[in-house]
Amino acid sequence: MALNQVPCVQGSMVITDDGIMVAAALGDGLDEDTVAALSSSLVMTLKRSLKPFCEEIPDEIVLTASEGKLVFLGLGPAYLVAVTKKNLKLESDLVEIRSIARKIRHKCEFSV
Amino acid sequence: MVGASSAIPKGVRDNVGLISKLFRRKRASAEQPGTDLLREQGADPLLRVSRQLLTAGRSDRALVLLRAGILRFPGHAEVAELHRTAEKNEALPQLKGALATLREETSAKNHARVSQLSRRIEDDETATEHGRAAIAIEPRSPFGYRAIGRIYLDRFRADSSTVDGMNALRYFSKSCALDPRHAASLLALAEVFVLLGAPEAARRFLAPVAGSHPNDPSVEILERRCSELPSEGTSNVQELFLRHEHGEPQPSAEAETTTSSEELPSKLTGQIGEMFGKIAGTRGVWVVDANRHLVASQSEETPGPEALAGLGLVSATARSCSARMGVGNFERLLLRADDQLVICNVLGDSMTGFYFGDRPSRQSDVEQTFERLALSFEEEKKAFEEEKKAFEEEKKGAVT
Repeated sequence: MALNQVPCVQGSMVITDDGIMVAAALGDGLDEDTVAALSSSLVMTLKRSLKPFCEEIPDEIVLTASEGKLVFLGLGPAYLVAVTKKNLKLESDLVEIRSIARKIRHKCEFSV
Repeated sequence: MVGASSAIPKGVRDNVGLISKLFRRKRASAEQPGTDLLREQGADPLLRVSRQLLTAGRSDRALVLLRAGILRFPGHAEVAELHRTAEKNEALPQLKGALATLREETSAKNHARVSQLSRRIEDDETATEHGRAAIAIEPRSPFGYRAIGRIYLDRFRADSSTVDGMNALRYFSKSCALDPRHAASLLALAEVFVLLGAPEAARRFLAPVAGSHPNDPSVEILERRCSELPSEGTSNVQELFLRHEHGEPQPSAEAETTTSSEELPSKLTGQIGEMFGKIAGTRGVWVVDANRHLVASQSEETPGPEALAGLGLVSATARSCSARMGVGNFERLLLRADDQLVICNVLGDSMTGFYFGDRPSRQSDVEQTFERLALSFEEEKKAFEEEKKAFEEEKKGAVT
């Protein structure tokens, strides 16, 4: 199943750890440059700022906002970013996104 | 110097490549006509000489001056326009040949060349396509990253958009990581930091270029601009972008709209201690305000100022990213691993709570607790504002 076919997913993108976009399939109203720049900036800020509090930053990050969610899943040296609607169910829909992330990780030989 | 170079027999010069290179570099660096024009207060002499050079068919020389000119006179419409036109006129006839070369040999370098020329004729879409193709073919080659970085830098220079600046920084950083001595990429990074108002960071990239290209007018101009800027006082790039976007000081206006840290601490600390103390696996809960002050702490351990600034930065970045990415106002950030649970939750207009624990199974308990805390904050705030209003009315009545 393609990631963008998962209910609630509006678009997705793969960015490297250093913020370079690898692939993107974003829906209407989502700008590639903006999503890539801000996603990598958020992930980098979390990695740097939370270091005094956690030894390692978890690979699964979900940002919830008033009109949608952003899901970040670690793929080794890259991240899968999914922009979703607000009603994404973390217990069911996220399982599908995780499974696709695993496949991408395997396919791209991203496994650590 | 030219005489000294030609005094060396040709055969010797060719055999000793290093000496030959040194001579060439020294001769090239000594010849920088027009640099004095960039020291002038106004852009008119530079514009006049550049136009003369263009008319005389010396577009290469005019372009060197104009490229330095846009750094010297940032935002000067005439310099920018003449630079654009000169680049376009020079690129157009070269594009056909570059495309033919690319058809003959598909390589990152050739894709990057087409990208560069397409950008100069203001066809950003084609420029981006070829830049990405260069990266896809040879991800370990710096050419594609440079080509795309240049597109974003042009836009950042023109409209100051944070997103373009972030992208320019990422692509040129990657290019420099792959080729640390590439002068144009180092200069581009220095320019991004100058545009962000960060002279210390800019100087780190200027120093190696100043050594290898001491008379490059762009180095001199960027160095001068660095000396005009106050020190940024941070090495955090995200902090620089937030300042660029919101201006300094960080959202202090927001802080005025809510109950300040001085008015609530002990009560709030007791409240969160009681609420989160019941959740198993809790390692610490901290609440910070928009000015990155610690408002309350569940743990006896208080984070140091740097760690606290980091929490504030996470909150400010998450707020900024949510709004910019079109998903609305930031509410919550969840980070989960097998033995880790981190939740960052908005509490009112400007406060943010941070939970750190080691039991991800308690996620919903933590979220519900934050919701209750947010409600209690709202009530506190309302009560405080009513009290304040009553006090002010009373004061007004006493005066009249």
